[in-house]
Amino acid sequence: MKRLFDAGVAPARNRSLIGLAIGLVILIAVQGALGRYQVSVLTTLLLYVCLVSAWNLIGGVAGQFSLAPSAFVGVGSYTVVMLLRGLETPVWLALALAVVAGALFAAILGLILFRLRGFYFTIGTLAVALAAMTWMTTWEFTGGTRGISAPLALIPDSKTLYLWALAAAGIALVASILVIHSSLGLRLRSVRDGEDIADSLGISPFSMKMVAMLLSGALTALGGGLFALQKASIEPFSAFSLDWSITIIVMAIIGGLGTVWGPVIGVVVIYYGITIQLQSLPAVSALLSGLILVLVIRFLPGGILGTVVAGVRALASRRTRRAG
Amino acid sequence: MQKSTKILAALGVTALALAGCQAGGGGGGDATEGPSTGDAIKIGASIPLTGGLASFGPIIEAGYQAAVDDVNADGGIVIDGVSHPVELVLLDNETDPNKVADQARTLVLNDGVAGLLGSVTPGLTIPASNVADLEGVPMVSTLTPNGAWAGGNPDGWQYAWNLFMDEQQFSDIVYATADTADTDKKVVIFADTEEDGVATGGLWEAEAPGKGYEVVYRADNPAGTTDFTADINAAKAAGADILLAILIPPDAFALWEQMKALEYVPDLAFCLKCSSSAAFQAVLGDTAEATSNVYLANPSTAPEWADLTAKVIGEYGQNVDASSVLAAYSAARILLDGIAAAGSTDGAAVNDAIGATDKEYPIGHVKFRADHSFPADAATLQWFGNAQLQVFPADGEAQLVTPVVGLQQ
Amino acid sequence: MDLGVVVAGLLTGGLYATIGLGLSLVFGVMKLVNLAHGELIVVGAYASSLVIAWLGLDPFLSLVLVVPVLAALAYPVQRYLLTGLLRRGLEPPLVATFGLSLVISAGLTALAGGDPRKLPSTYSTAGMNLFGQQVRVIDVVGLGIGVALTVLIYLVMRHTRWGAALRAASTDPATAGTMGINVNAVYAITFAASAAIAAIGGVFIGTAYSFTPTSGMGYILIGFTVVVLGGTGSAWGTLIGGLVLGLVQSVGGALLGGQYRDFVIYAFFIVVLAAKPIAEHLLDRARSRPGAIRQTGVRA
Repeated sequence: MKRLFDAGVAPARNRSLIGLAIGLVILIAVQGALGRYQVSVLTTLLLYVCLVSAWNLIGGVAGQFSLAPSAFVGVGSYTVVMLLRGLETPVWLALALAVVAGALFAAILGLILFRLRGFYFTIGTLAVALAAMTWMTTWEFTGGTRGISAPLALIPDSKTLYLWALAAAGIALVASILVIHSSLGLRLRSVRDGEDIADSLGISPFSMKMVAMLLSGALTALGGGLFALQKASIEPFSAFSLDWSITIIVMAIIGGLGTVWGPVIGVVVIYYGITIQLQSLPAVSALLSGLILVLVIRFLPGGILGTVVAGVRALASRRTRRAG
Repeated sequence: MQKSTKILAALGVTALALAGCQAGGGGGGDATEGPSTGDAIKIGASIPLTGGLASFGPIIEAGYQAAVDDVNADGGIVIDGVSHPVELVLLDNETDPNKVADQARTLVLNDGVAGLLGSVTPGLTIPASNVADLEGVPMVSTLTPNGAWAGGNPDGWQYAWNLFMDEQQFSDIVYATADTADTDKKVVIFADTEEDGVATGGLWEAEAPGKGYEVVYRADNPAGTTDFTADINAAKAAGADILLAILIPPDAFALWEQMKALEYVPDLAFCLKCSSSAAFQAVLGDTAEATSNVYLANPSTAPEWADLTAKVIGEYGQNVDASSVLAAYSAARILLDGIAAAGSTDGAAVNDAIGATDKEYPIGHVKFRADHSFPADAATLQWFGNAQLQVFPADGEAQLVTPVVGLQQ
Repeated sequence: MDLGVVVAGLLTGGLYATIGLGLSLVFGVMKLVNLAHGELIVVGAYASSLVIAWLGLDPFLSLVLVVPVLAALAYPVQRYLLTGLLRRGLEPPLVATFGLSLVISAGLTALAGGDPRKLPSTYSTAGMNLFGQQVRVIDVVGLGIGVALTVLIYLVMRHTRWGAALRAASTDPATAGTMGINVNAVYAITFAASAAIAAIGGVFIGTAYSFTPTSGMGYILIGFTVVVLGGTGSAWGTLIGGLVLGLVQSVGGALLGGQYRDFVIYAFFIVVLAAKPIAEHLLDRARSRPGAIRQTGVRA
């Protein structure tokens, strides 16, 4: 019990892990009681949680603002669909190979771009994301602009897809918890806050950034592969669309960068709160997302989660101050 | 900022989000939560009301709505003696293929539609067709070339049906039209790198020699290219007098104006995809004169559709927009007639009824082939002022005009 | 490959330089990465179409109204939103402009619809002969605009007191403040000037090509490529960067095939980025300055 309720890194980690486990169990249990539409919405929501948690590792914790998550979504999507169409591999194997492909692409990206800092790194990732998309339109092996489609018979049914999405979100959150509440997280944050100082302290910025990037890329590709299974047919302009990057980043920032549960909050607010509820007015939903982003970055730098946590702390300290 | 203010701000944002939950009330325009309740039979579609293909959105909507209105005026769909009104649910996919599958699923699972209708272009239609097959809900689409649509599911569609032109006609009609004119038989192709650009451009190039034509220059540019001067000068130098283009409208606007400025006036200029919407002439004005397009032939002259055709043409003018509205009408009507013929909203029953369609609609006499597609007749249409008139096969309205008058200074 | 390819590349480069100038100005002076710049360009085009519909002016004449209005709208955005965020590092203003770009493009979509539009003019189809190549008059105008803006910015920066204040504020805002320069006003006016340049670019694009609420996104990467190529904060560098980029695209497309036109730009940009640290390292060695204060974009 002591290890659960104390302050400190290990207890925080254990609290988060137990909270996550409880949440996953609940989500598995309610599946039978939910309508098919709600299962479908939850599936998409969980997949976004996976993607946003993944980006949070590189963009929030390691502080490397990457605009390339769309490329990883595309890599994961194409890996899964090509394996299903070409070799009829079982879904679990296709997803595992998508993870590997994501990690490989992340390694290449890191090697090219990690010598760059700040603005140059960000714009470099934008160029890579766009280059990947245009390359895919010319690559005949993957169907060029025609795209490819998975055999519908091999697509998992909605219940199975839901469990896969739950697993993906779970893995991404476990990874977030283990990274953020650990010495690795500390080292990543030190790179984020002052790369040269971290360097002088013996922490290799390149290795740290690469670790974050590999994790992030692998998880994003996993999410991308599952999204592809939801659609069955993919082509370069949508699988590699920059909209993926935009949506993911908006969700991450609004939720709260660098935290474990921030991405979850961001996904719920943006996807459920705005996209779903305002489905009949898409111009309004885009406008609202942009507006909330500006307001959050101006007034709530820690995102919703950061602000709520700070608020709770302020209330608590006020109480102890008055008491003491 | 004071911490308490920050808390208030956080609560405010959360309240905003929750208020959105209340206001939205779960789902699109006319939808209700859960499976369809009450008497109404719903059909739905995910169409581009905003984004790059926004010009098609209102046209598709008009066609679908007109069909629904006509069926309702006739007393709705009668099943077991009970008359059910029809309701149309539309969601805007913002011309984003990523949104189509989600929205199609929403229509099926949340709005409980008995049938789906299509969008425009394979990219926006195929994801919905996938959902139709996966969920066992029949879907009828149009404004999507048959070859690309069939190619979207190599294993064959089960619940999805499509009525439009075959890509082969884009080539046959073009070269047949050129045969009726006096040209040097030298062709230049401007294709973009989108899926239909690659397919159609390749088809034109492959078929040219067999029809007695020579492709002297070919330009493949990504969609969004704005500078064609080098390509135009090359085409001029090669002596090309037949221009075949398949581009998105913004690129076509740039190409047409650049051709005029560079004094390149071919005998024939075809612009597929770009002048498949009346906006082409609205934007380019005189420059569009005598530009050709391959699109649906004139609508059916069957007496039962005469009033509808006259009304649509009166509203949209004599151009491709009217043809598109009538195509959309036909698709929706086939779906609704299928439900009526099946006597139920059971997916499999309606699907079989649609498959058995053998009837005259504005788009023609519809009978589906084994791959669930119906090849509508294609024709060459040419711009005369703000009207697009059929010049080949000649329908008595207008004669083919050469050279492309609009490009002359 | 003939002279026509080169000429076409240079003419397009003029437009690219114009796009880059606006971005370079704000990035050079206050290290602001304005992801909404593409949207500012498009707003300029839409504003002009509004003025034209209302007053029936020639598109370039409409700039007389459009530029001041847009600059006036941009001023408070910088003054009251972005300047405050600059103190917090590189990301917050970047994210804020990100959000603004979403708001602007969604707003334009809601107000004006998604159809492509053009600004009507009689000269967008006029041609002329340049070095034996037949080109569009409007494209030559585009090159002219790029060059004129470059000269204008250079002269203002070097030879006016205003330019001196700008350079002081960009080098060392704190000290500039103590010298009596109102840094906040300087920043805001710089952003307003950037919006004005964007508006000019927008009117040109609207006249020569066409635009939709979402066309802004496509110009952002080109703009940043030009900025990186040209070296931040240098007007002439930006012009040359734009021309080089136009050439690379045109020549690359001619050599590799038209479908690689866009890919050539991205690949070229990645190569330039990857080579940047190496080039700087070599330059340092050549000038034998050990690890000097280089502009690598790090905010420590």
